Amino acid sequence: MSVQLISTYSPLLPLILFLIFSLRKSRAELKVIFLYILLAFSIDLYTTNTNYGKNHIFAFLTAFTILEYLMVSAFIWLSLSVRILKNIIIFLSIGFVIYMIIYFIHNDKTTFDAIPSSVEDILLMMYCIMYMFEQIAKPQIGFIYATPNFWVVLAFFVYTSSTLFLFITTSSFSEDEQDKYWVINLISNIVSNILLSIAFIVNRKSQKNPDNPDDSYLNTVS
Amino acid sequence: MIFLQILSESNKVSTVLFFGTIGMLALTIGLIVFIIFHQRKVIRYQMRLQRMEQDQQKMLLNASIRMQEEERQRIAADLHDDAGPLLATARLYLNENLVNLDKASQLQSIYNAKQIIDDTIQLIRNISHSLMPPTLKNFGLESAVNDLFQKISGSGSMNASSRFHDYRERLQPETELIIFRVIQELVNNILKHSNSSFIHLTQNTSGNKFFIRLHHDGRGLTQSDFEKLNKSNVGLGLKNIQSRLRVLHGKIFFEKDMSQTYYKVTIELIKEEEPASDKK
Repeated sequence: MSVQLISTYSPLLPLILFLIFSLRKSRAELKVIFLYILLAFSIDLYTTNTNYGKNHIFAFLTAFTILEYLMVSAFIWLSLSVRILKNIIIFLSIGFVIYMIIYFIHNDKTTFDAIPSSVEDILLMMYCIMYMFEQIAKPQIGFIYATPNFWVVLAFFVYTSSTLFLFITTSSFSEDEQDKYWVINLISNIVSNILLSIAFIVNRKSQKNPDNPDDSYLNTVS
Repeated sequence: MIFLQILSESNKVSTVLFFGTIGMLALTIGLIVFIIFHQRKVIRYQMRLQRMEQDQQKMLLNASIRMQEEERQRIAADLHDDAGPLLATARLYLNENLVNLDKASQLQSIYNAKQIIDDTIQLIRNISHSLMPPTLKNFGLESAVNDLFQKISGSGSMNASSRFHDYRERLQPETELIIFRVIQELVNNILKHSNSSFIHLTQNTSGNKFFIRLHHDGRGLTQSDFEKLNKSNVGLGLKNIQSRLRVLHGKIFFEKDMSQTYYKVTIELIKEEEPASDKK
């Protein structure tokens, strides 16, 4: 099996886990992530199997960049509780969406949207750090890794940090080189889907013990 | 494998891509590991604090229960050893009255029985007063404390004086009782352990804070002594003071005067809202 194939079908794992474990009882932010995985899987499936040319795929990918950004930032926005951090996300998102609309209209879409993807990566990494910052600043009894949201943030943090330099440098490569290095994106995608699967498993565990979801983890500390 | 291939190429951009990606991943993993370990450390610390707090509360509760038991034993002993024999003697006199037909002897035994019943009434009154001082109930903390200090001074063992600077409005009766018990306990400790020649009590207010300060010139405690005794199994009275003050969200400070001559105990309380504002 090629890495490409594994990467394309890797979203099936979190999708199945979500459907089995936590479809009805999940919080709104996890439902957003489910929709995101579904969308990413559909786009991946379509772009790898379509017979239309690369230009058509690039247009699709640019549209996906906007949707991906909106969904992930919506997830982090819902996970945060500090007002100022939420406002920062709204403010930056408005700026990014305006930029993407201008980019979508004016760009010929003949190449991969390297700059928007890099900007998206940087913004999402910032949001992930904001989430982590809020978690360590907030007094709480449970461990950070006992919450599904942490694993989702971790998935996006790992994905964005490992693909950032790929997206920044991709325009400097020839088409052959781009195809060769694209494996970094594929591996990152597989890793992030594994982490998202862990998130849904952790969510299942916390649903089983709603009164004190972190008890089992607390007992392991001392 | 892919990274080795990248490294083998002399392409500058590939090197940037390789090191950039590795660097970013290392930073991300480092940050995550730091956050997890930091949070574990904080939670462990919080749990330790919580456990210490629970232990402390358990100790205070035990002290308060033991104090209550001791008080009950004292009342039981007073009733059994003093009131019991007195009433039994009175009964004997009255019994004697039934068999003795001599008028003069009858009068004498009735008089004796009356005397004994008077003593018993006084004794029961004393027990009752020790449970709830009537001066405190009827006239307030200031009068009760003044009364207590007058009694100490009257005994001649020590010079005791008190002065309330700002006590125009009485506190809640329950609050007054708790403060009075704390003062009683502190004064008892000073009488028992300090060997001092005087005690002086002052009362002040500052903003919404209410202060009571006790000075004496004998052997006393500092804050560290107090905390040490509070954590140990001895010092029942001090634990009782602590648990009483906890009910009022009050604080107590033990210190030695700047001149190193006197010991000072300060009780600090937050004054409750005026009843008028409660009705709003």
